[in-house]
Amino acid sequence: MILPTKLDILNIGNPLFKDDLEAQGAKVTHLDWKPAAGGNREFIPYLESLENDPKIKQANKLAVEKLLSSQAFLTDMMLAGEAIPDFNKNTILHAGPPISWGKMSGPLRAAILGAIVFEGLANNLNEAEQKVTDHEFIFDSCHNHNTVGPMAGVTSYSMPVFIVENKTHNNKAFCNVNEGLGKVLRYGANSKEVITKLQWIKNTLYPILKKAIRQGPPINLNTLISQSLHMGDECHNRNKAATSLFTRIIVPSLLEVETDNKKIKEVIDFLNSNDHFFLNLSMATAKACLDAAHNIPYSTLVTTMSRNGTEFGIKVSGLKDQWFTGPANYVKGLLFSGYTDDDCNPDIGDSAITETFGVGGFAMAAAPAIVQFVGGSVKDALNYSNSMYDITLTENIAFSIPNLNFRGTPTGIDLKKVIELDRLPVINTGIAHKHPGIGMIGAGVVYPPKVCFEKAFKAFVKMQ
Amino acid sequence: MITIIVKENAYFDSITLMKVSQELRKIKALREVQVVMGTDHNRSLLKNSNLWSDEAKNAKANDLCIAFSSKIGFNKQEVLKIVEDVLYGHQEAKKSAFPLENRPKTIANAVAQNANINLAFISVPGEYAAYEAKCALNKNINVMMFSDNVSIADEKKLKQIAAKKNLLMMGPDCGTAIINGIGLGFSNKVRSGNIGIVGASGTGIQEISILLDRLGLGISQAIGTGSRDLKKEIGALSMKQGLKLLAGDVQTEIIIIVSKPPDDQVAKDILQQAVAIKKPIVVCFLGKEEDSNMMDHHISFAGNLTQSASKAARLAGVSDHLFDFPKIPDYFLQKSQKKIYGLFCGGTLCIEAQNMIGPQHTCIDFGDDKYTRGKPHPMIDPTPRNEAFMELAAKDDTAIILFDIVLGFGSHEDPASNLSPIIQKINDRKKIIFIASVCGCEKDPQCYSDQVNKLKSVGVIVAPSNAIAAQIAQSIINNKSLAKHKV
Repeated sequence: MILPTKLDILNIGNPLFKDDLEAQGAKVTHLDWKPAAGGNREFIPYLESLENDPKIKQANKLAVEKLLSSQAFLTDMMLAGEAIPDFNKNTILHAGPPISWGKMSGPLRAAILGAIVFEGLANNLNEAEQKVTDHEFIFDSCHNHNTVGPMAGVTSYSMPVFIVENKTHNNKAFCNVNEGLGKVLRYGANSKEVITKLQWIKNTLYPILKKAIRQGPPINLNTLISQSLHMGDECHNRNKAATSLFTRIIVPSLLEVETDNKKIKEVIDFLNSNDHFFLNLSMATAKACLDAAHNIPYSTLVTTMSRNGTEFGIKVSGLKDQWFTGPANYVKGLLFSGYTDDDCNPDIGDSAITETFGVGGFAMAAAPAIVQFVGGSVKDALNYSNSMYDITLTENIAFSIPNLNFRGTPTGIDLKKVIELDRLPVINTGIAHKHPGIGMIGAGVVYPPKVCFEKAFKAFVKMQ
Repeated sequence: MITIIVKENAYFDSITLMKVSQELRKIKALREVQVVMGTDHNRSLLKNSNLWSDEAKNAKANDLCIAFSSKIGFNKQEVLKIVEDVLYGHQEAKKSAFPLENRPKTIANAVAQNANINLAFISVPGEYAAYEAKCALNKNINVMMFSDNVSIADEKKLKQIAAKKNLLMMGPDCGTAIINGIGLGFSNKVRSGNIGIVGASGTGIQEISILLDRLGLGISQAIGTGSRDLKKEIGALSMKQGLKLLAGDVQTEIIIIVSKPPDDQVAKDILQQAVAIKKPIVVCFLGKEEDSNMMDHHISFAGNLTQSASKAARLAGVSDHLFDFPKIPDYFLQKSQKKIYGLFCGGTLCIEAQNMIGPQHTCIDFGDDKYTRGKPHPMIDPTPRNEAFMELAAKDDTAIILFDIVLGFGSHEDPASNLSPIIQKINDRKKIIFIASVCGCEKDPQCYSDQVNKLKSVGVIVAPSNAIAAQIAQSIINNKSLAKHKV
């Protein structure tokens, strides 16, 4: 025999050849083939050279190590302006890649106007808008400031933020407080009741919660996420378990730091009535861990996926702070009764940081309770997670999924693999109404526009 | 002895850790076993159990602590392996625990799932084939590339990589091979034996292998190189690699080289390599006469495929009497019927026939690119060729239609039945002589003798080989007597 062992054949192409080979008793694996890079011949020659580049391999190994070794702790709360570096009174951060006022979608604009009123920088929304057009404010992406925010993600100077510290790598991430459901700023609502709630968060919730957080030991959020994945959360569209676990941890501290029962009840009611309270902590955890893996030369790890309601943007570890953007898609999913596809805003929010971190849509298999959003069957949920292993660099054994027999979640999106397999990361997300003030009208699944990854890939090739 | 191993920031849920403890307790040399996260509570438990060290003292809530006391004779490696297996291991088992779709999508995927893969059979469209082949070679996998339409530059690069890694790169445009007893692509179920073939021609390999099979001889390996391998630009990289492998293969006692006439320098190189191989070698550069400069006694030359098989058979000590001419029934041709038309599926069979019947007659290769663009090969779907039969029958000068039927894996399931109604239809209208050869063997899925009988039943003269079929056609048209077996 010229090959020292029995033939073990990989059939790539026509399946009839597989049948012929098997008829002769040969062992055959049939490749579920489609053209590499979706048939994009401009990219194909580079796939192989990038795949075999030792610099990239080494960089990705380091990035994965940094990502998996990261442990994020909730240590404190502060006002955004005090906590976040280079934050002026007239700075307003928003979700997604940077965007000018003229290009912002309705909900984002409305949230910004609401924030200006909340800050007392304008007496009403009209005046706020006038000041915006007079260029009195600096808008920037949350992500450019170690910050994340769900949906509009609007964060202004005196909004309280959680301080989440990556103790392994000594970096911090910030995220505002989730306001709950209904009329909320993050969905572009900006009426008086919205501003009143923001003020309650700042004046009542924040001082007590801050003290309570500082009272106990820092809360390990990675561990909390691991546990909640075993309890049916995927920590993007479902945060029920994690919120409950958080409440269980924080209540004893609350009782220690505050004596006013009425206030304590208000705080507990607030935590209790919002299943998504933990989302903002989940996002800050993801941000703190991913930031540690960012800026590693030659790494193809995707460290940011984010949307501003108009554009979707990604960042790649080895491509510094450059954004690669494309038009945001529409979310496919279930709408609350009374709404139609026409009512939906394009994809918005920094919450896709959870998928970037290997939870959210990537951990869909852990959250069968919300499979209705993604097609209805538990198997669909399992398949969403399962299909992401092909485009990730590793599995996070600390985030195991019972339904996948405790396999770790697919973690660390690899730009190369996304391009090679022409498969986009899956994102679980909420759907915002396109008109300000209406809020969440559904939830479902969305994919990034492919062009973000194509642009990043080109930049990578150019850098080689 | 107390052993405490701390893994920092490795959170595991308590059930998983209980499972680790349970597994470790099965080791007889261990006494007390605790596998816990390093929370304050757990560390005080460790302390109370006297499983205590500085490592345990400094462990944090998210550090995994593996603590045990042991008797003499415990094996730390064994312990660690069990821990790793329970925590990280059994990934394969984990993947298959649910009936999820896990078919590999890329070569890297496939190799990750099965490290034993040693040959990639590639038949994807040519523009993507080179990439897949490169991926396979990079993973140290031999390649047979059925795909064509690959650039010469890519072909050369692939073959250079393969040569460097001592791998087989068969193709692009390699239709036939038999490796370790398995027929790849278009190939026939011939017996195993001591004759190795390396060829730049798919149907050339098929024809030689079935003729040897009919003589009771067998094939050790048949290595395809792809149709362009002996061009100057490629320099026979695959054939050289193939020859090297056959030279070193103990089962191969006789070697046959088959190709269309190569570039002169390339031919020289190959012959030079052949001279150094201490095995009898038959060289068939189709249509090319014996090289008078080659006086090496262990190399012999053959001008066509049938001759190659004959010479190899004689080297193996077997008589080639089975290649005798068939009996020709009486025929009658009109004066206008002067031409032989050859309609072929096999490219090499077409060239071989054309060489023999001369340029005044016409042979068409229906497997040529210009007939197969966007359509299956005529060996798979004979329809386009069937239509040509009808067209030729309508021409006044058609005397003889010469054709091949190619059997084996990959080919149409019953080509003779597909064609015979058409021949019958022509016979009903007009007298035309049909001469065929069937490239196949008894054990092929289509069965050689069944196919021959089906053709005979509609009056086709079935020759034992393509070269003999061509010679019969020529003899008839020249109105010569049919000399006995001088192909």
